[in-house]
Amino acid sequence: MRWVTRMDDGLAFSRPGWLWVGQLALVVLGTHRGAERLAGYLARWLAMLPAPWPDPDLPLTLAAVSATGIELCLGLFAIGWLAVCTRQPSVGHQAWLRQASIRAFTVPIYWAATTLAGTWTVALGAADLVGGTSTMLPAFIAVVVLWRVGLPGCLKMARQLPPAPRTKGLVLAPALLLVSGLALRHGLPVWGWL
Amino acid sequence: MRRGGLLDAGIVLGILVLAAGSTPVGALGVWGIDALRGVERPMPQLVGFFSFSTRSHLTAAVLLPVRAPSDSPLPGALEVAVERVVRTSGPPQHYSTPEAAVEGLRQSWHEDHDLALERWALGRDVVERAASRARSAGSSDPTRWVELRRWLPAHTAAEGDRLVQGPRALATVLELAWPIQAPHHVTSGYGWRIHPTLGTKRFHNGIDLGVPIGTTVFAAQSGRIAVVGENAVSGRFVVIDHDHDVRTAYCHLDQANVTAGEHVERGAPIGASGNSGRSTGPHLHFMVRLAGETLDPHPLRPEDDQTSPGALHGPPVP
Repeated sequence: MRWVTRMDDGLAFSRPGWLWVGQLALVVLGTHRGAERLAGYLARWLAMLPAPWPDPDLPLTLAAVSATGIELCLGLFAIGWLAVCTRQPSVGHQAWLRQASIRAFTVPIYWAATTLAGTWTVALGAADLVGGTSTMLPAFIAVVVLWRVGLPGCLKMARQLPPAPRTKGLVLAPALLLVSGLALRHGLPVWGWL
Repeated sequence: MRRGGLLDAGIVLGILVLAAGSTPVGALGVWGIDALRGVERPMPQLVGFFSFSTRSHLTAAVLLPVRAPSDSPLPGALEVAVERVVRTSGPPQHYSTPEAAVEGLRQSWHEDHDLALERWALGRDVVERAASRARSAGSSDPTRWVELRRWLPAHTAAEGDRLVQGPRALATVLELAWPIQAPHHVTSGYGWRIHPTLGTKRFHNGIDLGVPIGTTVFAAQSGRIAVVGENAVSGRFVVIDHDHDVRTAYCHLDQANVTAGEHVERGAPIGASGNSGRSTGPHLHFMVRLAGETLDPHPLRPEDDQTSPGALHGPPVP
C-alpha cells in the first residue's frame, strides 16, 4: 500500500502541473458539442442562399470547415486563458467588479457552459465503458468530474483572469456566447426533464 | 488516496482519451504529439468530426433517385430512407460499407421497429444500457428514441439522431401523398422568386398549385392537426404534424374541415382550396417541413416515371 500512497502524494503534489490539461479537455469536449450544432445551423443557412452551388455537398463542407476553424480558434484561446490565469492571483468580488471587462464576463460563461456539456459527455461515456445500468452512475461520475476537475477550472477563469480594458473581448464575445448557448442547449439532457 | 492525486489523474486521463477520440482539437493534439515523437501519420480529417443535424443530409437524400426496393422485410420507404441516409452521411460505425449496413438492418429487423433500428444504429449494448437507465428513471416507453437519447453520451445521441430519427423522418417524407387530386399545374415553385404582389425578392417556402376555389385538399400523410388558423399572409391554413419532425402546411384555403388536435389519416379531406390571405389567384400553397426547415415538395410529386422520387408515394389519395 505504501507505493500507492507515495504515488498518490506525488500526483497530488504535481497536480497544478497537469490538472489544467483535464480542464482544457473538458472545455474542448463541450465546445465540440456547441460547434457541431453550429455547423448544422451554418449548413442550413448556406443551403438556403440563392447561390448556384456547383456541388450539393459544398454548403455542408463550408459549414464544417467554418465550425472546425471556430473550434480550433476557441481551443487556442482556451490554452491562452489558462496560461494567463496561472500567473494571476485570485481576486475578491469587489476587486473583480472594479476591473471587469467584457472578457471577464464572457470567458467564465463560456468556460462554465462548455465544462458542463463536456462533463456530461464524459459521465455518459464512462458509464457506458463500465457497462453499468444504474441511472445514478452517470450522475455520480458527472458530480465527481465536475467537483475534482471542472469546478476548479471554472473558478480559476472567474477569479484569475488578468485585468483588461473594459472592451477587451468584444470581438470574441459573440462566438463565445453562441457556442456556450449551443453547448448548454444540446450538450445537457436537462431540457427534456423540464 | 488521502490527497486524491490518483483519482484526479484517472479522471484527467479518461477525459483526455475521450477528447482525443471525439473532437478535432483532440485529434490534432494527438497528431502533434506523434509528430514531436517522430511518428509519421497523415493529418487527421478534422471536418469528419461533424455529423451535422439530421436535416442537412436528409435534404440531399430526398433528392436522390429512387432504386426499386429489393425483396426485404423492411417497409419499402424505410429501406430507401436508410439506404439514402447511409449513402449520404455514412453507415453506423460497426459496418464497413453502406451496403453492409442496409443488409445488417434487413437481417436484424423484427417486430419492435424502434428497437431494431436503434440497435442497428448504435449497437445492442449501448441501447440496452440507455433503455435500462430510462426505465430506472420511470420512463414508460424507454425504447422510444426521444426517451432513449437522453440517456446516451452526447456524441452517441447525435449519431442516433442521424441514423434512427433521420431514416424515420425521411421515410415519412418519401411516403407523402400529393394533396390535390384534381388536374392542376404548379403556378410557383419553391425557392427564390420575385414576389407576385410585393414585387420584391422573397424566398418561397412551398409550392403553389393552381386549382379553382373549392377544390378538395387531402392530408399528405396521417398525423395530428397541429394548427388550424387564419392570418393576413397565409389566409386560412392547416398544419399537420406527422411525427418524426415532419409537418405539412396547406395555406390560402377557402375552408378547413378539421380542428386542432384531431387525428387524420393519409388522404383524408381536410378542407377546400381558396384565395384567402395574400394571394393573386386561387391556389393551394403546400409546404413540407423537415426538422423545422422547409423542403421543395416538387420532387415528391407522383409521376408516371417509376424511377422518380415520387414513385414511393404509394396509392394516390382517394
